[in-house]
Amino acid sequence: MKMIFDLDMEKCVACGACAVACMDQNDIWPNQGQTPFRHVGIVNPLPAQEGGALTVLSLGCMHCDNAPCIQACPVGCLFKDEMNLTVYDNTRCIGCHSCAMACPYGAPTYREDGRMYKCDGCAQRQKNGMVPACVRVCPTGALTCQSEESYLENKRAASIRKILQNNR
Amino acid sequence: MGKTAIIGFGGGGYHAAKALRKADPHAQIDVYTDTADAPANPMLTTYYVAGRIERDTQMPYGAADKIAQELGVRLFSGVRVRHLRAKERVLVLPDGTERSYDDIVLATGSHPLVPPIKGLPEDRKGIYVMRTMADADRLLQRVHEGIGSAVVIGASWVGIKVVEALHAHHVPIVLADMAPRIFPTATMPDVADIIHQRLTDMGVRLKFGAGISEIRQEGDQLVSLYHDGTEETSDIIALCLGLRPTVDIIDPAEFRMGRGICVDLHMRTSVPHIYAVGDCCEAYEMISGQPVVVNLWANAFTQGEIAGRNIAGYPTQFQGNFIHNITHFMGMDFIGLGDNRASGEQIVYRHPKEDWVFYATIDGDVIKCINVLDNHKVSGPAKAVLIRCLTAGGEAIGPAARLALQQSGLPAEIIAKIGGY
Repeated sequence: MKMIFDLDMEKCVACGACAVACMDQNDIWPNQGQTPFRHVGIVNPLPAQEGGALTVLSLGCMHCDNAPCIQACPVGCLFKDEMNLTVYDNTRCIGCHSCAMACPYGAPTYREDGRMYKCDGCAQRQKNGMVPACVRVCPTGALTCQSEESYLENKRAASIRKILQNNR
Repeated sequence: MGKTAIIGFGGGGYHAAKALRKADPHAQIDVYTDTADAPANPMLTTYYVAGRIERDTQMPYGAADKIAQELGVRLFSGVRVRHLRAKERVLVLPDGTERSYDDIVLATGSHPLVPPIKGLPEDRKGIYVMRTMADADRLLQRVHEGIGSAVVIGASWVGIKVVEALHAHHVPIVLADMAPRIFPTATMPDVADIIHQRLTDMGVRLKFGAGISEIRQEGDQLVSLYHDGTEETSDIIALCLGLRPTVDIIDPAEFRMGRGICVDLHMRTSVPHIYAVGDCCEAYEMISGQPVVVNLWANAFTQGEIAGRNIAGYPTQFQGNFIHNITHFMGMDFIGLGDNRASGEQIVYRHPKEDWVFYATIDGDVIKCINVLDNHKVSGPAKAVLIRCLTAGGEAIGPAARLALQQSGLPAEIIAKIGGY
């Protein structure tokens, strides 16, 4: 079943709970120089938007359909699993940083061993019926990971609700 | 779907076969390759020579037989197609056998340029190039026999990786190029200067602005002579002077040709039902708008998929590509995007605490070139910004891309300049 990560930016408050849960789940130690797989941030507003609402968001691997990191990896470390998550086996990683250059979102990270590490969508948790750690702790429900079918259905329902609200 | 032949089994040929098989479980796919090996990534040869990977790791998809079984293709290993009669779509094999096909994919790759240098030994003793696993085997064998000194001709992507591999084996090296600086098609002069200083500090002797004119043999050693009147004596010479498309099986008069075989956005050549992918073809380049040969693994991957899908009846277009590279060598990361000859406003950022730099050339709202040294985090988001600039007509980048750039360490004013807002 294809799973889709989604962030509702109207709900995200950049509290950082997702990033902390991710670090906990994946044993990431920023104080030892390791880069977290998920970031939250306040994006500098566009000049035209000054005075408007700040944009806040949570950013991690997008698990792109046609993931450019997979194409770029010269040793074939990255691949898709049965849930369409972009997962990896870094045994053969040569630390060439080709995947970093391919990723628009800065998802690949590297550690002292020179190898690439990234968000794998908590594939093991999901295989065991659990939701990804970042999704589990999100207090506002902004971050979700759901089946493609459920995602599209929810999108349709949200669109209808919006149309109805606008017509009141 | 009928019968398809794929000539060449590198990244492009492999992905053409894979896409075709995915689209049609029953299609007949014949793959011809002149080696007995599985698809191998040429970029990995120097990692093997340096002792950083095992030999088999050069073949990212596993053994040839296993791949043939997985993809359900007939694999003709060690069969170098002698000739293609394009209009008839007939392959002529070494023994004279002829086979006709409905569709053909040319994925013949490229080979190292070896110019006719005066005195170049006919037996190539002491002369090395780096492209195939056989090239890597040969150089590694020589490393094991002992190399007292080396001259690497060509400060190219391959040249610097050969330097790195030999440096790992403590071989004294001279890196020579007729160009004035390293990666001459990618670096901005200031960024090149930093790299030059670091290489010099690591003991690599640089010899730029010096084109090779002649090679002489003196005993077991080679003397290379240069146009500036200087000469170098070494045990071996590695020629890393670039690549040329391998198109010797076709009659160029039958195809529209540039530096490689010209293809459209569907990877179709000018001959109906014949496609070309990867290093042997030249396709749309996004910055110049002209067709260009792009020697990149990911490029061959994408083009192979597109050809496979189009043959299978799923119309798919190539977005285009541009010259880009990330080269991780001797503790450095150099990232080069776009055309380093372009003129425009130059943006420079040197991180005040960390030792990395960012250079960009912008002409109006259009990013023409980006150089980054030692910050791979910038590379992906910056490349995405450049692609957006080329495809979205200067539209401002979205919040996710902005956050990715912020996380890479670029300051807001630089992001604003390259992000189109």
